Amino acid sequence: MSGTTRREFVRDCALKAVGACALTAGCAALAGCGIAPASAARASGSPVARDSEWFLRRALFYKRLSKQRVRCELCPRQCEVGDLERGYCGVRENRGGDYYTVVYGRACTIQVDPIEKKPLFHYLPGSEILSFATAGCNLECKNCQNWQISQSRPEQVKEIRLPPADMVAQARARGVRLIAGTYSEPVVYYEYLEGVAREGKQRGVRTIAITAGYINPQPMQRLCRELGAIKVDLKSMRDDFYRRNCSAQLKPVLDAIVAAKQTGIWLEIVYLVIPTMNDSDAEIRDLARWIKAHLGPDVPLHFSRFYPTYRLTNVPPTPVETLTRCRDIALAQGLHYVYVGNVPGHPGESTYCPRCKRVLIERRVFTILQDNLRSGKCKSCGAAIPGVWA
Amino acid sequence: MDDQSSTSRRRFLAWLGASAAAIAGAGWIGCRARGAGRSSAAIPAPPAPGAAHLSLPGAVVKATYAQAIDNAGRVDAAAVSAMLDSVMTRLTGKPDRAAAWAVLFSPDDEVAIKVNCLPAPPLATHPEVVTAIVSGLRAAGVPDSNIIIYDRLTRELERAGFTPNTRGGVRCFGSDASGYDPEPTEAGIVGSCLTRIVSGMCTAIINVPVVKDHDVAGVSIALKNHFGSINNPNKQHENRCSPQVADVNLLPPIRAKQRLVIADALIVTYDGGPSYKPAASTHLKTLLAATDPVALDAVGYDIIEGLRRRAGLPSLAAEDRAPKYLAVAADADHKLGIADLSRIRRLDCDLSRGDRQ
Repeated sequence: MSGTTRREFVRDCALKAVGACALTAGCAALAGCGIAPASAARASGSPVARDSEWFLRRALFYKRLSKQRVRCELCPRQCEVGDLERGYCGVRENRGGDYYTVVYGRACTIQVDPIEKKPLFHYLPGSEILSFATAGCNLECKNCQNWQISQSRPEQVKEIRLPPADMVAQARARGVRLIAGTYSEPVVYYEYLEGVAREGKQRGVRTIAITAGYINPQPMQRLCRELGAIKVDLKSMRDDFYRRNCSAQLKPVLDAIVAAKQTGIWLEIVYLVIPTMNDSDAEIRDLARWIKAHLGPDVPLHFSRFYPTYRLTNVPPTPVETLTRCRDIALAQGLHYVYVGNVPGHPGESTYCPRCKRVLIERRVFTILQDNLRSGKCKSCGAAIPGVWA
Repeated sequence: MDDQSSTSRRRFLAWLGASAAAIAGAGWIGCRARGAGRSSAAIPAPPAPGAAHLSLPGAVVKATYAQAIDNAGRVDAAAVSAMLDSVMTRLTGKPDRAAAWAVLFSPDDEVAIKVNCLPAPPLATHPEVVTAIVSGLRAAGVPDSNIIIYDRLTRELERAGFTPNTRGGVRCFGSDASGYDPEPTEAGIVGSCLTRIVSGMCTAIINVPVVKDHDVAGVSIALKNHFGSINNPNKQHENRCSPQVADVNLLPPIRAKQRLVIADALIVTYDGGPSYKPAASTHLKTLLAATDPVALDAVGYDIIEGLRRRAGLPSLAAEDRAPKYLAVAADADHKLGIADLSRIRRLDCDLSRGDRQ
């Protein structure tokens, strides 16, 4: 969500709060002390929840349990949720023993980004992509850069009513042929994203997901069959890191990545390098080896620079030398496409031909300076470069 | 275990007097002095740092009144008012409503009343209880404009029978209207943005939970009610909400501002919560009052276990749902109150039998 500044975000929230106050103030005359006879309100037909009802859709992937409880089977967390309560993600709610998403068509932010910002470097480079999110996340990363929406519930953030058909129409109206579920965590708005992807397919708009990959294999594969590409934030190769920093576990993420790859979807991996926490030579070597062994050497790997934020403010930004070191280790392990992100001007921003070593796509931040690909092949040596280029 | 530690009014007042004397000697009662507390044999745990009001660790008053609610579920506001007067005068040792409330609140206080509307009527905090609380605050000289009734969502307040109001008089709105702090506050493992009502719009909090079973936490009473004061309660339910419940109550604005807990136990759901389950609910016709939220929760937990036993249900411990956070809240890292029932002093009264102030 880096296109929306923190100031803009806070302002939006404040405007929403003012609006809510204006709405409720109209009721003040009914009871000056704020307390109405209980019987009157209870007999009123209770229209108070009508707005939020609009965004309700029956959730996929859950089981009914006894006493009106449900178990969510979308993500490895497997929340067991009592009636009227929500899961860890904050956007799935048990209502009378059935489970619902409360964010179907309920975006909280939407904007057009370059696809390089995601980052996806081997998928339609230079394209613009309509990017959206809802509130909620099934992780709690202490370094989340979008925590204002990911760690919030839908009632706490801006509300943009945008069902899938309208989302696709917006993309087309802006001349954009790509949509991304991103910023927070698309796994938690699974049904919404799937609806957008299906609607988009019918109208020539492709959909991608930018995710932490904390999802069970079956729903991952079902979603991938509707998507054009997926980028997974693999946060560490150490389970302890996931537990301490993300309230999650490593293995389910690795399983989900493999499950995605098996569907044939275009996949790229991002690894945010946090000094002292996940940047040891051994861990980076483990990362590269795992990718090569389970996904193949052609899956792009992006090392991204960390900046202090949210609850991880006592760690400095990643030194550029650390990122360079990580890239060198991954290349030495045999990965073909290893990038460095959040460091403008770093040679690791560009794509190089693994055969002739010449620059294929030269980038600076989100801008493409030169493109030496011809029909997906190196202009110089003719090597086929994996990716989705058209 | 229900009656194990309840005591006579005379003995309770004697204990209270000893406690109050010790507290008053340290400048704790009825004054605005600031400073660290002093431990005493009569005060098993120190008051919260910075507290300047009546603090009675381990003291819980329980009032029951058969007229409080009829078989159809209609709440008798006058009966509830009498119950509240009874618990407040007993808790404070003061002779009347005005004096009792003045021990805890002064006219320049801005008081936020945290209710619990998630379970919806008839289990949500009853407006009649809050009306009686507002009367108590008025008696202490707190102006209506200094009183806010709040919960997470305005629509949940409305559903529970409260009328949203953001203008004059007693205000009533959810944190969705007030918004939350722009940055998280941390305590223990919890990092949460507090509702601005707690962080910036009040000097004192009255916690008005209901007494109910909770499928994850075991019970949800006073301590857990503050999950409705933060932006991310959904993140706090792992490991049966422990230590998160205790940690949330350790967040400085909550710890420093909460002065009183009045638990609405007119109706109690003892299994299948947190939503209302008619088959596992009873009209207990009870209010509980304390300044110690841990002690009140321990008593509430005891009540729920008693109701479960009577209904032939396994204990929460047998279901691996005992509220682990209670002991954590009482531990040396939290010091939020007393969880050990044997150290809790209870005064039970039944207005149906003529027990009044």
